[in-house]
Amino acid sequence: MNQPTTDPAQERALIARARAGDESAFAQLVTEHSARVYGALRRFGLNPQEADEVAQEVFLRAWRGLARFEERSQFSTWLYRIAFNEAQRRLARRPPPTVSSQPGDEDAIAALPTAIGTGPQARTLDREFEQMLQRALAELPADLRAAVVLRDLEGLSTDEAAAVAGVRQAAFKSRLHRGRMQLRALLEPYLRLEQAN
Amino acid sequence: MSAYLDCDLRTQARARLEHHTAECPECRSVLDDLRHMLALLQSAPAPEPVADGPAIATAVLRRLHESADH
Repeated sequence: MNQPTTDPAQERALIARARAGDESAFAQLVTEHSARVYGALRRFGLNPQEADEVAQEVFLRAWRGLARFEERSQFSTWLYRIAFNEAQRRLARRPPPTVSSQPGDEDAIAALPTAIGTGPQARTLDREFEQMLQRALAELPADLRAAVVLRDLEGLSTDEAAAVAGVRQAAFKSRLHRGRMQLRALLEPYLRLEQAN
Repeated sequence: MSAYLDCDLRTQARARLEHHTAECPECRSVLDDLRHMLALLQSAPAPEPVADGPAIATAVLRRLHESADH
């Protein structure tokens, strides 16, 4: 998850200024949160170009809705909610992804470095894992994918993630469990490879 | 198992699951996989943005002005 560099008090001040119409303050908020929003959109299932476009939509909606932002929740959680809704809207407009990753995708596994270490090779492995993860996430139904993304990748609490997804906690926990189990099956070859090292 | 990993089980249910996984290699393997997968997910690098933050901010402000002009 991308950690913010602005402290909470600074962020509250920027939000107050942006609410009063200060565009430069809002631009700072966009700069601070854009990588996080983009990453979440990609993980919700949008391709790079879609995520780039929709990230802008998210911030346009945030600007227009700033007056309605209740500071009981974090600004980032509020942005996640807008991003989640915009991603669902975009995904609903296109057919399900056709790129398929099979749980036993030997080519993908063969392409991985053979040892887990540190330094450049570990970073390569991180990127390989990220790509494999993107393919596996794309295989999950959208509601299960969103649960795993919000809770396990973006690091929201169960309360926050359920609120972003717009469901009760019990329903969210059920989605999360099913999503994790399906993702485990899809990533099993990678998990086996790691255990072997 | 998810609830167990999230420390979201009551004491009795937690003890039951621990007792079961101690005796059932299949469920123990699933639990180990899930634990390992969650650690990987938590440290997974975020997708790299096409544009950097200031570029997105500039694009957003441009679109704000465009919509205000119409």
